[in-house]
Amino acid sequence: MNEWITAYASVMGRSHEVTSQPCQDYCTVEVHEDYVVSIVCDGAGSCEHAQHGARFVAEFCVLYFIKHIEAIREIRLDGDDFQQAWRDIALKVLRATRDDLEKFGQDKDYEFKSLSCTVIAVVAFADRLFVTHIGDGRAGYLLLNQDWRSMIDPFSGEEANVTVFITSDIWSSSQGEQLIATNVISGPLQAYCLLTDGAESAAFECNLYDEEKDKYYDPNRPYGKFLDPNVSALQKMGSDNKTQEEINELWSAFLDSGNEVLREEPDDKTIVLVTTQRKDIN
Amino acid sequence: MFTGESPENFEQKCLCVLTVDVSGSMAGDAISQLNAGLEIFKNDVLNDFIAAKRLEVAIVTFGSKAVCIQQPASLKNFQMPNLTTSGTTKMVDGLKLAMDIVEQRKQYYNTTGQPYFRPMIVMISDGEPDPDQDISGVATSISKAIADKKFMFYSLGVDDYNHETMSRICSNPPPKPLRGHEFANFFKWLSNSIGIISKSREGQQITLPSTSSWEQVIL
Repeated sequence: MNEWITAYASVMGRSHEVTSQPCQDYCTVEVHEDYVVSIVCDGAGSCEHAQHGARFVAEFCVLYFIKHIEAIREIRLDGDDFQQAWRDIALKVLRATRDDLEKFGQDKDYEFKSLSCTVIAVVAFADRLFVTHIGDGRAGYLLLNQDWRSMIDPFSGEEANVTVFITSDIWSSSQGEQLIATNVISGPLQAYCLLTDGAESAAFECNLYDEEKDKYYDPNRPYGKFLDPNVSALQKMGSDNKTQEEINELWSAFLDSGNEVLREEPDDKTIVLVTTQRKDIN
Repeated sequence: MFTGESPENFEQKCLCVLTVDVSGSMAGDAISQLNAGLEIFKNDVLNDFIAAKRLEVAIVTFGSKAVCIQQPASLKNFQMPNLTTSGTTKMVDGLKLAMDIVEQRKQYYNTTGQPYFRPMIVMISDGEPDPDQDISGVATSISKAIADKKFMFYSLGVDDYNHETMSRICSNPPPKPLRGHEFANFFKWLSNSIGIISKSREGQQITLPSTSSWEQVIL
């Protein structure tokens, strides 16, 4: 059996400090004996109540995924249809969350679109990851004896700051539903991370220049020199029996100004980092 | 202790095309203050860690003809020109050239795979366009481009500019009158605004800083 160790925080970006806008990111993590559910949401800057939308979506998604955990646990990866089986559950959960968000908006007299946010959700077991997402942000995973890889391809439009949200008109057509991504990854899990796009420059290689082709490109690659030391630090904190609160406080301070890129980032930043103390290899 | 180095990612681009009236009527204190304001703009942007990496500036001037005197480039990579005045006011030609530059630069960004924010055109003028200039035509083009989210447009009126004419060119947002020749304050405001715009999300109701430091209040 593994022991899960987690660090998660959302911190305000520099531009929000200047404009006195609240932090519109939200994240939540629920650790159970053999699985972890992690959700990261990024509220749309346009939207007056986006911080409420982000929090609502994160907290309700967690509850819904836990409610479906037995069905998720039973998905067999040796069949042909495990990707579809996960997709069916993920769509059901996200649609239910979206519908509840709409009711929440009606109760509060908030326009539905004012609650817009992106969402990345992961249900992780020791040997499988189930991921779904709407919008941008990044997610990566590390399997035993392998390099970091990305779990999702973030969505972006023609302009750099354009994306799709859980409140977007994507629910009534198969074309729209293509914008809701799902994936299942199997293998002995060491660690994974979920990020809002405010943290991507810090933790991912996402806009590099190829001199030979004279082109910029997005390799969508988790950056080991950022993530590995933090995974090690997190494992040590677990061994030292630091509380979740202590870990998150340190993580929050690091996300705020841990290096120059984090310090100067104008957008809100969220990173969920989860690692395991694998008892089977110790 | 958490620690970790970040990779060297390039920043998303943000293009600003300054479209400046250099007709004879801008001679004297107006052009002198405008030149000083451009230097302040450059220094303020270069002091903003993110804006310095994201912003590209192009400069179009219009007098008797419209000329692009600075192709889009990072402020680190060019000397601000010292503008001089002469001639009449080919305002519409200047705006059309600015719009062409926006389209060409966006194509370059797409071809080279560079993500970018919506570009902006900022027009500065004190005068009436020449009689042969098709104001209605350019107004239609600008209105359509704004509706199609091709670029953002701001205009600054100097001295006794014709507010009605400039409003016909673009009324949303309307032209803003400059108080005296307070270009320095205007360009400080512009560099702050670019900092905010370049860090915004799509559709965001951006709250730009107050214009009270440079805008003339009309009673």
